[in-house]
Amino acid sequence: MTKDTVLRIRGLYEEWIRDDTTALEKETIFQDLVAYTKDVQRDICGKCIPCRDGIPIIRSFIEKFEAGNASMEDLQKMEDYVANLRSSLCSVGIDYGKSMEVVLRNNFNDFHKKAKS
Amino acid sequence: MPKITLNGKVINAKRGSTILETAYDQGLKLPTLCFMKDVNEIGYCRMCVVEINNNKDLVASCVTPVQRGMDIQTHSKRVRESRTSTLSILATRHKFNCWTCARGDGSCDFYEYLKDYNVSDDMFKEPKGRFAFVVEGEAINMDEHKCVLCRRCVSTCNEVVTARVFKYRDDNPEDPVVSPAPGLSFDEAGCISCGACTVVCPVGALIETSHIERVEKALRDPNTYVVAQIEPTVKSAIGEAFGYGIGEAVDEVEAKLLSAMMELGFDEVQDISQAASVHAKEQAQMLASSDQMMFTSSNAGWIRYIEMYQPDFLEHLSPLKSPHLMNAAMLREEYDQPKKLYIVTITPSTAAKYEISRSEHQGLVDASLTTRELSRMVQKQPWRFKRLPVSDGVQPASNGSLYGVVGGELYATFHELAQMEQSPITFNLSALHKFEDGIVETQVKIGKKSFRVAVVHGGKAMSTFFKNLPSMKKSYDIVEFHDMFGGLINGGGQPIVSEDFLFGWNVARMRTTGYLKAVAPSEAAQHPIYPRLIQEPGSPESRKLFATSFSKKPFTRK
Repeated sequence: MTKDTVLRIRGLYEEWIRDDTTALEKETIFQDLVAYTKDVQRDICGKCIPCRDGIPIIRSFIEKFEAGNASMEDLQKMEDYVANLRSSLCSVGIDYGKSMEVVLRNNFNDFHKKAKS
Repeated sequence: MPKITLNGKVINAKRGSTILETAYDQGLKLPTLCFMKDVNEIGYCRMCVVEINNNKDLVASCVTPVQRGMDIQTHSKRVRESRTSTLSILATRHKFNCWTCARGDGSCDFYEYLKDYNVSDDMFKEPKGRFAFVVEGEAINMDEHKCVLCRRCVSTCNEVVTARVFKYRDDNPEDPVVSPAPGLSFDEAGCISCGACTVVCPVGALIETSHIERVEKALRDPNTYVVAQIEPTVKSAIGEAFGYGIGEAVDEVEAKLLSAMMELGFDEVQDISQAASVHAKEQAQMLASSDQMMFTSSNAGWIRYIEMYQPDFLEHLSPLKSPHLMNAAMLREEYDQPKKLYIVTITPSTAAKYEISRSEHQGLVDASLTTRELSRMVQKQPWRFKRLPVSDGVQPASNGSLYGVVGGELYATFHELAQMEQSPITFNLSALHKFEDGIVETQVKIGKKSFRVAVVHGGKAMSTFFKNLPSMKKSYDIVEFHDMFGGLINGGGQPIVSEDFLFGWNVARMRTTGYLKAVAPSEAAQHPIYPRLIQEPGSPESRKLFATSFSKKPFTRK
């Protein structure tokens, strides 16, 4: 996991505008996303609910996928909480949400396969 | 006027207004947990989000001004899903013991939104709450398990009350905490106990310190004679908890309230208004013999304020107990029955809880219930308030009945003074009911004498008053103070009507209007005990029963 990966995920939405098939590497996706989320968490200002309380919950879901403990229900909730970041107060939550939207769209199968039905 | 489309309907919005205000003007109620007009317009809770021009990024309507051509959806699928997610996220950090919560009476905004937006509990499993500690106080308690970090209490205490007790500490941005100075109770941290924070809290994090259990215990004890002394403005609002409109049917509510008190098991019910008339009589006597500016002292929250924040002016306070304490003192002086006398004050004031615990007042009043606490006690009963018979035991109103409304204490005091001096009086009470302004002054004429008086209500007005006082060319003869904006009738212990603080202070006006319509004060109404105990106002017996003292109180703000 390098700093470049975190930077790449930060710009994933812009990358997706240019190339709508853009996706993360399936072998390291969950580790990469945990590292990216930890990086974003440093920028959280603590003001609005979707970002302050939502991003830590999303991270806990990603960690469940990484550990192989996630369920389909978790995937569904994660999608809801990611979509809700569109209502964040500032760009920290909105940009994180947009990157995660791309991941959930173009790497959906990697999550789906890991989720216990 | 910008033309906009709101939920498919083309309307002209007020220039400069926000989307939330425009929606409210159109009769729409958008959910909000943090918004308070002019006080807490911060856009943190994201409950009032709306969709503009089909944009996926939702905006908070409370902080977004309307602009020409906007196409706004307030309840689209995307908006509703966002609110559901926000609520379920928030629910992961909230302790749900709703059945024991003081706001489990239907006044919890969060609970209502969880229902409105179909948030199922499998979305948040078993939350334990945000922080596991409780901040205590004689009048106010804060349960940190339930705080939703809306900042309403912080802004209200800073901007409206000006006591600045709460701090929003976000050094760990993922776990901010709102509380008074860490490790201190509200009483040590500069709280004036006005209860404004308990009114604006959207959940049950901030509540009045409950005296319900101790009152219920006394009511069950066969060896105790329990007397309820009710502040008359309780009847102006308690009906709101039982389906009456604001300021509606105050007469009927009063008569049913008396029946309810008997059903609850109280042995005797007294109206504090007659003790307030006694207070006015004693105060009038002091005013007649005083040559310095006098401050009224019947409002417990105001006393907290001056003792902590303006102790240099303590000598101006009229050294009298407040009416409910005077009434209790008279009751105890005459009581000679074998059963133990237990006195419960019922009042819109939360600060009365602190007041009865003061060392100067020990042993007078045993418990103080707010209007909200009394309504909760009634709601637990098998009978229904609205179906109770109308009691014929209602006591006639006296001038003291007006103590709870802005200017009422001055009205009663000057009428007593006019009676003492046997001179005609000119006093325009309605001139003092300018609710937009926390400081109102007027002239009172008794015979040929003229008095310059003022009413100051709300912490912000108190702070402004003392800031301007040194530069005033002429001081006042007497100034009436209330800790809460709108007076005691709008006290921190009255039922919660969120529209009051969301879009103005109309509730204070509505309660006052409804109350004054129902009350016809008469100077003939006399306190049943006072003439037997006191020869004349200001006499040694009077001082023994009614005098109290005030002193500078320290507090800590870290």
